[in-house]
Amino acid sequence: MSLFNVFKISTQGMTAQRERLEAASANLANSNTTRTPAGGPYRRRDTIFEAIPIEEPGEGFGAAFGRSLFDDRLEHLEGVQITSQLADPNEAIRRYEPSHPDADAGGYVALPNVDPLEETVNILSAARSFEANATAFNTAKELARASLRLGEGG
Amino acid sequence: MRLMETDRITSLLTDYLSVQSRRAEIVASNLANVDTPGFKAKELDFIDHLKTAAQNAVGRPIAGGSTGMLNSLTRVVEQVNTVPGIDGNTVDAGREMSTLADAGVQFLAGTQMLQARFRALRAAIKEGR
Repeated sequence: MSLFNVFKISTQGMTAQRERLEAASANLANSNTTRTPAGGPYRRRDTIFEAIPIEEPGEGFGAAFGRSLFDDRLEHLEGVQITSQLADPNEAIRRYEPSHPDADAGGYVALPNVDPLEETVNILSAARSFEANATAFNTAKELARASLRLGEGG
Repeated sequence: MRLMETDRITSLLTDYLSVQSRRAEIVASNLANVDTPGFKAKELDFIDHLKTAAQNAVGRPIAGGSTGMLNSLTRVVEQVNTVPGIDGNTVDAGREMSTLADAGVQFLAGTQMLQARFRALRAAIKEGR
């Protein structure tokens, strides 16, 4: 029954949006970080989404059982995943602050290129997209429940 | 998943439920990819099915009815008349939510009709008692 695929796809969607939210909050939290293990200021991370086909069941009993539950017509249907978290290639912001311990010889400190406004918009967008996925999940749940109630009564 | 076939009405309703759940599935896929660059929103194409159903309706009391007929005639196509965003993504969240609500209500209507059908069968089995 294809309703089970909705659970699978919407879960992937929610996971991807949560990862995006995590990256955005890490960026906000590190907007003033001047030291990292790799050296230099913090680099803001960006998440890239990629559409992936939902996996086909393989061989064996479990797979056969899965095929009976899940639909075998999986063509054209795609879930989602985060492919990579890119470190933003933009230059760090340089600010004149001679008293700062990480200031260079000229008295300039390299600060992360995090734009709080951009991150806030990212967080809002991720939250809304998460909600959309959750709504699809809940609708599928209600429909599945309605199908289970078919045999009741009388 | 197939319900046991007892008669044409039951199998038609079963097909109807499959199509509606398929629509919900496609909406879930579109919503999951609302932030995927270059993703093209999909939808279920009914046109082929409508044509065949119309042809079958001539000279036949009930069109369709064979299990899996609706499914074999519907296909997943890319949505038309969409406005791609700056990243080439064509998913419109509002459109998807309305499709989801529509498919949900139609699915529930289908289960109600199926339930009525089962009640009728049960009444017949019990000889109306």
